[in-house]
Amino acid sequence: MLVRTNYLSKRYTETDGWKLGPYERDGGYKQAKRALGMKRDDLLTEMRAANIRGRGGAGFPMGVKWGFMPWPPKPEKPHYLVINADEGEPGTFKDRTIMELNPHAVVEGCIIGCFGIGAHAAYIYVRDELHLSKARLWGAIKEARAKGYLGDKPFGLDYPVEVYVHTGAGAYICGEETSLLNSLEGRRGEPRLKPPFPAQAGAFGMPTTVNNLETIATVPLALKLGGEAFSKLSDLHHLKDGGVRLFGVSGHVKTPGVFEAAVGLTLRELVYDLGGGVEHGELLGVIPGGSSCPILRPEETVNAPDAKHVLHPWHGKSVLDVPMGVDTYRALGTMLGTCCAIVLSDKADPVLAFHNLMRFYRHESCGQCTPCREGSAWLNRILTRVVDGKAEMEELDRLHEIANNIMGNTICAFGEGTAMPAMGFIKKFRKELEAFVRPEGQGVDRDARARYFPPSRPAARLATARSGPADPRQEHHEMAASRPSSSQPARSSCWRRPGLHGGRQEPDPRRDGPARHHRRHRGHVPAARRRVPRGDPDPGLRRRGGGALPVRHHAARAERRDRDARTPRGARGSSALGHRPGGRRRPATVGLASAASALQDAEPLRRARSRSVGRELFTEQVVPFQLSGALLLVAVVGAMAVARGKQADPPGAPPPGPCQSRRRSPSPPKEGS
Amino acid sequence: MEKTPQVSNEDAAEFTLTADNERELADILSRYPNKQAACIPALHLCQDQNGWVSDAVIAFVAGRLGLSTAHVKGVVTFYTLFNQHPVGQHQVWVCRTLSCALKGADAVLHRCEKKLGIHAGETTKDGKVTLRTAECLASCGTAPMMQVDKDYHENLSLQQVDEILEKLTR
Repeated sequence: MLVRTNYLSKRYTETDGWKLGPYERDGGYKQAKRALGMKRDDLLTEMRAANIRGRGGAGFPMGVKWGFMPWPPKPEKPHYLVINADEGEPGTFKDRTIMELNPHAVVEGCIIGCFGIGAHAAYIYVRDELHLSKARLWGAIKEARAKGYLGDKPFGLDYPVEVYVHTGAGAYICGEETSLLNSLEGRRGEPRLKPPFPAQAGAFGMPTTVNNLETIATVPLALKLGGEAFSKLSDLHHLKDGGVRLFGVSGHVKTPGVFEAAVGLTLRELVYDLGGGVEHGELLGVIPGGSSCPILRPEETVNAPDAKHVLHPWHGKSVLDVPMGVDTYRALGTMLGTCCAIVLSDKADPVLAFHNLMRFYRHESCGQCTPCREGSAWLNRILTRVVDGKAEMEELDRLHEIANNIMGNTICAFGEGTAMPAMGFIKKFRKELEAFVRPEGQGVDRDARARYFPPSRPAARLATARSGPADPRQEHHEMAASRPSSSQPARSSCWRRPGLHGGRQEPDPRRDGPARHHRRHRGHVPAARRRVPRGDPDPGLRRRGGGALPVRHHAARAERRDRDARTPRGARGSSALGHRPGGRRRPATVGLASAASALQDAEPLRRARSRSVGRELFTEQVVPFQLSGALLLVAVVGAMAVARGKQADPPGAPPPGPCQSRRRSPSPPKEGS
Repeated sequence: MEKTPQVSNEDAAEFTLTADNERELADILSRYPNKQAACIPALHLCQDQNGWVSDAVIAFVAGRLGLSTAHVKGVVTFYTLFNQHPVGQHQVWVCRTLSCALKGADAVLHRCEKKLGIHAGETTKDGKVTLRTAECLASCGTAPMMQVDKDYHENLSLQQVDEILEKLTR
């Protein structure tokens, strides 16, 4: 149920609404003063009753978390309050509005929080890019200190509180609480193993509570209204998910932004009522709370026939009609996260969106745990191949396998944050992924795929508004045409569909650098070096590396295929062995000629393999010939060939000409082959 | 205990902070229970003055905070916002993560590249502007966006991109 509220965002539109004056006019800092006069237990009871679920993504009850702190505090172990404002989750932009437009709520929340957990110092960890936010927070701290609300005797009471702003330096992982603590301590922002939990050994080895910035900014409000009254503002009070929170919506909606509403809003209301509806078409999917949450599709329905199930009241309804709560969304198989949704219209390509997100995770993995470091890179690499039209169907399964191997095998939740959206996309957009692999498309409307995206680029949007529909493609073509060097292919755009711009996109050495350019071409052994043309491709499968052959090679292959069809299998010579449809070579185990050809091809092939991108994923064996074995084989092959030459041709054998031409001469591999 | 910093580049001129920044550093140090915690803010301070984090800066920070240069170097290489090479006078970051990409961040980046005559990751020949791509800058509701030095420019149209870049390159 949509209930717009105006507690946190009241002064958002006011000029100078972020200053102390307007904040105090609305009753600011009265709760902090009141809290410092309360008993700690009373404050905690109030906070537990308020049912404030952590706003940073995990949704842990804040009051309970405060209660984890050892009590009473030991003088040699000072407690710390750390506020997480390292907002970097794609799609999330709510904390920034609080820091910029309501910073005093944060400072007041810090005072109450410090008292609640027995700390005397609070650090607000703000990401470095948010310069305005930092300035506003420092300004608010300065104003509060000047008024005597911070310092040795806040409000004249004997409970010293200091609040500091600490900056990060551009690492998404520092939004994870333990890596944030490492970063605060001046180390690399790598997550720590838990236990010990921060409540036992956090910042500087002391008991620490880490709260999200919105969570702490909500505290004065909860205290003002009273815990239970605050919780009851929510539609999900019965699920212990209370109060009001900020909802964000971005992507393909008409009015993106941050909106304050009571908890219990549905996704449909967020997208259509607050977000103004889907831009550029129909709704394709929504990522409900920051990119780490698995995507939801509008056609999904809730299946909860069990009357005890959290979602039973919405059984049979669309997932868009389920109230956005921590527990309800967890039951749906996704997460509420930060409550900031990214909307994709059906003009957006989910595969490109998937690729975009995986690039993000690959970039942001801190590299501490192998499954995450390697897995995120693999996911990104395979998706790059998918988007470039070079992937094979089995690689889609590999995507799922890799994501599954990241799950639960990492120190922090970043691994899950990568794997869960990946598995969501693979499960829910399998057809679209397959369409990238299979150019013929299976069950996917090719015309629809060829539709252009994005139409939302600003110039095009303006042009459309002024003079009717404009062709947004023009912009792209103009840009491509005006590239400094026309010999370079147009840079592959994340949002260009392969179907539109001539199928496969050429690698761009300018962007990729020589190394990556090379890597992309690993599968391709130059025709000049290839002693035996690879096997004939099955039309249903993508050939790896074969696509780069000149046209005349394809013609030659077709000719050979015809010949093979005419030739009995046993008499085919090398082409019948060691190859299989799809161009993949299997270990040569039978036949003489095949042994020879395998011998000749083993070395370059193995080299090509060891270099090949993503090939390490494949379980196929490397051709099992070593140099010593090879020499032995040469001798045997030579002897057999002599013996074979003496045999009469079997009756019904094809004319020797073409067959002979295909047969390899059993000589040892040349230098450098 | 103050450790002797190991300077990898012997020729690097010694780095010193201006008087104002010295005061700022003292203020930073006063906020934390130990010196190590000031590592990142101190590096920011030095980078603001020097433009990038050179070996001399690393040695300076390590010496001041009583850390090994290896530790400081480790910190510098972990975080993306510390420039390990000299950069242009102005830095332009174009966000290209999902929300911005859906709203045409690609076109903004193309326009920047075209206008500046460089590719993302490069600096213009006159050393004025460094163009970079960024992952989510927490401005998803006002996409597409770019950050120029310390300012956010949001809800960009390509005309606005041109205007912003013209101001920078003038």
